[in-house]
Amino acid sequence: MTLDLDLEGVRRRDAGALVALFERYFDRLYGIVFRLVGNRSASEDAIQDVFLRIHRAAHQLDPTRDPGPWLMTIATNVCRDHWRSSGQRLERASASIEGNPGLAETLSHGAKSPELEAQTSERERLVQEAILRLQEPFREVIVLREYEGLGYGQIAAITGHNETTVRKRHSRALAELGRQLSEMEL
Amino acid sequence: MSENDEDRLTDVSKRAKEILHASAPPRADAAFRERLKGDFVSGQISGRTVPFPQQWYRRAAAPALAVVAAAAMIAIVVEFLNRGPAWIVSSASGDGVVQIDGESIPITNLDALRARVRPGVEIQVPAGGEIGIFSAGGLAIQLTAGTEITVPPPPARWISRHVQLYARAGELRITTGPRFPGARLLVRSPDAEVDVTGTTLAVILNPIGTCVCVFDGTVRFGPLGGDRTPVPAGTRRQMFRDGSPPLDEPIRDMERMKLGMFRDASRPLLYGEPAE
Repeated sequence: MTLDLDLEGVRRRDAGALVALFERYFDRLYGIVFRLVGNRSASEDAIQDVFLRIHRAAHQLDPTRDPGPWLMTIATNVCRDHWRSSGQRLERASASIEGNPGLAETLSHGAKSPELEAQTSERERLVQEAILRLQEPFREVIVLREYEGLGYGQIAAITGHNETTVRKRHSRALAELGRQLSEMEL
Repeated sequence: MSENDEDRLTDVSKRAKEILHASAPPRADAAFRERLKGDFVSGQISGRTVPFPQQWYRRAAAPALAVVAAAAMIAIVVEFLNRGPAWIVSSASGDGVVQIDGESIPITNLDALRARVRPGVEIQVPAGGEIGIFSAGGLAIQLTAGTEITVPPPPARWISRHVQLYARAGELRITTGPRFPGARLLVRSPDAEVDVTGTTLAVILNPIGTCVCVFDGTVRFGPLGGDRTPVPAGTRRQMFRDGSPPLDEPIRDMERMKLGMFRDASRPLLYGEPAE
């Protein structure tokens, strides 16, 4: 499935094809990256790295296949590199959002009234905080499964783990999230 | 379990799914998005022309590549020599089935356990069993019934000696050996972190939070992402999940006895000498 994108053009790095690819996938990839790394500035660094890698590897794209899994694999790998970097550990300590005023704003995009926006912001803040408290391998599975709607097999292919492990992680992560969200009275 | 496993979820998990699905997608700053799109399309991301090196660059790259290759070779050799002794399953007792990365292995099958336990695998000890692992000279860890952890890499010999162990449930006892000084083990539970630099201790994940019992030496213990403060020998500190202040009290006699037995039993593995 090529989703009417000009993937041959992407392989040749034609401007029009790159624009179409960007428009089709930016929001989705940004969503993944943001949920995984947890704050705006780190997400912007990471998504920039994602598109840099896409550009560099464009000639490797298989034009006969849906590029989505390939792109999500790149995004996931960038986030893993980000977690491994020592600087990120410091950021993570403050990623519980009290020190991250842009987060609620980022997540509450589209809220209508100030009151509704405030309620939505608080709720989104707590949800994202709960996601960030998951250990990284569990966070990956939750984001890819619950936000991207991927199957266990697809997640296994993206994360490099076997399907059984992915299923177990998903189940545990949901249970842990449920516990945390209950404690937050959501 | 089917692909659509909604019917097998607990109410708490179903509620978590509902909340996740109700949350709004994050949006990037519009100006940032436009700038990145322009950079992506033009190949100027991070100020670099991305994929098309010029001829002079290729000529300059040849010696640089040789240096990089040599450095990579050295790094590989150093990394190999730097590796700490591998984990060895020293004991497995009780009954039941151990889950290792989703694979079921009878706890009585010591050979199979030894073949499967390596850094990065997830171990779930059955309710009626207990497993001991060690890295010679470095660390010994006892996983009691019901414990779930991700096995960390063994502490390296000279550089990059910090390792992390993810614990999700149960109780584990840890003691360090003569090669551990200078290394560091960070034990992470869902709500707390324990910084181990040379000691014998237990980490207990209970329904109200996480507890450490320090038998000898000192550890630093605190909430996930928060300040970690020292817990001295002979002390038990309970960290509460609900945010209540931590509670310090003397280590309980039963746990003191178990930790003492564990440390003594580990000495031959870590020090190469008979147990006292």
